[in-house]
Amino acid sequence: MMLNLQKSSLLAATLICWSMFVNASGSNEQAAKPGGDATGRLNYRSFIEPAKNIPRMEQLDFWDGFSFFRDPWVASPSITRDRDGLGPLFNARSCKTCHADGGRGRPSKHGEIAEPALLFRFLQANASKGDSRYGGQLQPLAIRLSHEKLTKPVQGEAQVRVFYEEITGRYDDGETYTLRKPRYEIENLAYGPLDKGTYLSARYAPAVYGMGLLDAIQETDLLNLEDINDANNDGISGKYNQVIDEVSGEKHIGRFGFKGLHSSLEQQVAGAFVNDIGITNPIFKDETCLVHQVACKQAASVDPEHVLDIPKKLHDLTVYMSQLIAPPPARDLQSSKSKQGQTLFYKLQCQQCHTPSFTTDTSYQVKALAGQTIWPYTDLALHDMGEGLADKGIENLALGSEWRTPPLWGIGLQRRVQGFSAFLHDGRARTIEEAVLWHGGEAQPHQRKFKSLTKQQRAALLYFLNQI
Amino acid sequence: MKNFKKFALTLVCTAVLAACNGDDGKDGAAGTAGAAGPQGEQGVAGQNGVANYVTAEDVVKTNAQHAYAVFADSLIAAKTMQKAIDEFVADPTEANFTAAKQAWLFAREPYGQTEVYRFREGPIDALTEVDGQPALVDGEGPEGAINAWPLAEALIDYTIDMDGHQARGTAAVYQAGGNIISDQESFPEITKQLLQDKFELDGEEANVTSGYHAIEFLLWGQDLNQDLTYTSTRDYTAGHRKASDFYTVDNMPTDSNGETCTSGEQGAIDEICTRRGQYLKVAAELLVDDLQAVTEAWTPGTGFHYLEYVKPENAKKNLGAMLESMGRLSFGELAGERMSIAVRTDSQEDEHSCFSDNTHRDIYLNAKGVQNHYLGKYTRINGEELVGASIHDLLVKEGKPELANELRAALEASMASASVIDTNAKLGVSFDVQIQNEDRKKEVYATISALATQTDLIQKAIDELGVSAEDLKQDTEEDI
Repeated sequence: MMLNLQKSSLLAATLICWSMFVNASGSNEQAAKPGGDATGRLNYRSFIEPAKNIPRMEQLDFWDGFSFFRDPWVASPSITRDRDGLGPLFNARSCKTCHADGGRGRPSKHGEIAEPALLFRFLQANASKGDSRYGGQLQPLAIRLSHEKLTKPVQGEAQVRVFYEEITGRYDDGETYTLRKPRYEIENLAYGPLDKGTYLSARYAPAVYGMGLLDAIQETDLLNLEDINDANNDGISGKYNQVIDEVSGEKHIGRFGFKGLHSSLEQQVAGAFVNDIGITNPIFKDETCLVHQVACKQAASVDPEHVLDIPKKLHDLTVYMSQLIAPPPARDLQSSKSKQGQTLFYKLQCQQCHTPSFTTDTSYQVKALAGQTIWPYTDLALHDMGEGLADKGIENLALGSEWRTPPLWGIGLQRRVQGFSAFLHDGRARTIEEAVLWHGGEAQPHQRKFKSLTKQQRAALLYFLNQI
Repeated sequence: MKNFKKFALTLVCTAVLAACNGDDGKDGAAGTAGAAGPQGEQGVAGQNGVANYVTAEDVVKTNAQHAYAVFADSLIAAKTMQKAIDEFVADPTEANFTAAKQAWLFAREPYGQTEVYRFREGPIDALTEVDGQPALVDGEGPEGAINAWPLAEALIDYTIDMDGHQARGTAAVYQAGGNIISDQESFPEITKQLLQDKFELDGEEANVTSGYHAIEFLLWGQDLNQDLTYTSTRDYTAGHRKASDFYTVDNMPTDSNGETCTSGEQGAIDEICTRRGQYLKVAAELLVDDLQAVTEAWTPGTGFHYLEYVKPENAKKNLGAMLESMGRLSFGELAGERMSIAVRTDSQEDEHSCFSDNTHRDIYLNAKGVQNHYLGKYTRINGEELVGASIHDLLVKEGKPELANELRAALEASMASASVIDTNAKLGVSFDVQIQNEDRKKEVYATISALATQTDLIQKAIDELGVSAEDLKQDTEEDI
């Protein structure tokens, strides 16, 4: 009883702090342009929209970069030098395979082989290493190449079949809901059995818009939010993953990826190029073949040594394009339903992790993204999300149950733009409502409060989330 | 919201006026309300130089009628090409080979002008079947099957690469499994179904097995130099495929000069040439099928999409979609992905019609399509000139004559610029060589820059007519 009282006064204090913060940023409510001047135009067909505040002719770089995002890579050697270098092992031939329309990829269906957008990490239980035969990431596809250097064909590593089990639950008002819990079975292991204790951790490709603005948030602004030991006693212990920057060798906070494993957007893009498509690049210069994957190594050696699959000039263009994919404008923020939802968002304390707003670094290297007041709804920190969502591995500082808070901007457009909706790190949630209901761990109290809302209140909160 | 109201008001005014103006009042939403018509606006319109009184509905209807015309022309030209291909495969003489290639080039003329109908969830991007009925699902349409590029041509037939790995003569780079025509074991029969099944094989878009560019590759072959080398410095010649790639014992032409089936090298087995001919024929057949379906969807009076498109309540949305498509084709697609990236990387692969060196026409015709959209005009392949209600007239009528004039001029400037690229190519400097020559590059950039200017003005028209997605979102918000 005593404890509860303390807690609620703390909540009140947080709310006061919150309102001070938003007043400081010049507005007390969500802005219509979540990316500031770098917001895009509203587009119902695609999330690929350049930031509105770059001049038309500079947008050429954006669209040139986009061609490397869109166009599929082919196996080398080929007749198309600028577009070859795929594999030898890979998950997809192009970025857009998994980030369809700049959003998330096609969701996987019950009983079927996982779609390319669902990628699997191999993790050892309670350890920070992958599988001795398969490495850290399942690459189900391999190039079909015949070459004098190749003694046998390269084989994709394995496939994963996806199953969903339904779980039912009940809101406090008695209404029932159904969630899907995924289960994975690995098939056609091409390089022998997995190590004992190797687990699969699914990662469903995220949307790629607004990432440049997240990259432009100052590290100190994020670290100010860190509270590893919950010193302020609010039940939330945000911590930032620590990773070594591949370029500078310096330690930085990891803000990209579901576990916060990359410190910059450039590195995230480069990592996806080499691991997911097999495209060596200025940051990751070597193919990902493991020692025993002989054919993979032979195939990799078909290319002349020290020649990157994507040279720096074109890699930079791709990164530039990735930085400038704009978050979409907010839609209805003015209706009473939307305002009610916004009030509930803060009442439920969702903003404790889904930090609504930041002002980006005024000295960020891409001027269009510098000094913008943005509304991504994420602190980019790791939080314990509970057993229901946990995997078993350790990735740098991230424990199995810890996931990086995803941004919420634009999530309400997913169904309209992509024709489907799927949320969370593995795409298990079919609606935003289901995603909220999966919140556990530190977010368990928030989930309980959500369950205690009336049907009308729940609808208002979800309506608000669909508008931002 | 403000724009939206304005627009709604304009529509009402328009409808009132339409009945008295002798325009086409029968199409107006409230043409019968015309008693108030003679007042004011008619006179004002005259002073502002309105050539034709038009409404958004009229403009959209013209646009739908012209969609039918341009897709129907594409279908007609594709059928003509199919016939030429069938004749060539049956009797692969040099004359028939040339005729088939000419028919391909001609088929591209209307198709290039259809591309402005993309980017709007229309039939070309979205036509599919749901429960046996035609339906639109964005991304499920036949556009890729019809016009996808670049294509992984090595999946279809023999090629060589730049590193001296010759696919012909020496060790084969691509063996069985990598090339549909040579791999009889995996693909015993080459059928339309096979091409459809292998299209985007493994869910990947490079694996283009059908459409104009697959046919182009089978007619021209890889765009090698005159001496059949493949080097980073290119010459003016297009692909050098020989008619003998289609010779079999059954169809040996009178001008064979003793040659037999070739496959980049002499003395290939007969089955390879048979399969290549079969591939070419089914690819043409599939293209005709796909164009037929799109044309049907746009058929005035009966096409399911035509009927939906011209509904008065969809006029604003579709006017917005027309302008949106014009902007997207002009800039992101044409200036960006079809021109800028090719110049920047000096990449033949980023050249639209790289086998036939017909990219200058693609550029010109894409730009032409945008201009057609604006002017409500289209010249059919039989020379018939279609003229209807235009965005230009609508802008003038809406009190924006300066913008109308600026946009008209910008589109003209782009056409003038694109015609330089077109002319250079016709004089022998193909687009893939233009992007390697400093002076010609300047001309390419001049076109890019003109397209950028026109796109800014198209955007302005979208905003001033109040038909952006943001302006119209109130209409479509229900399920979001």
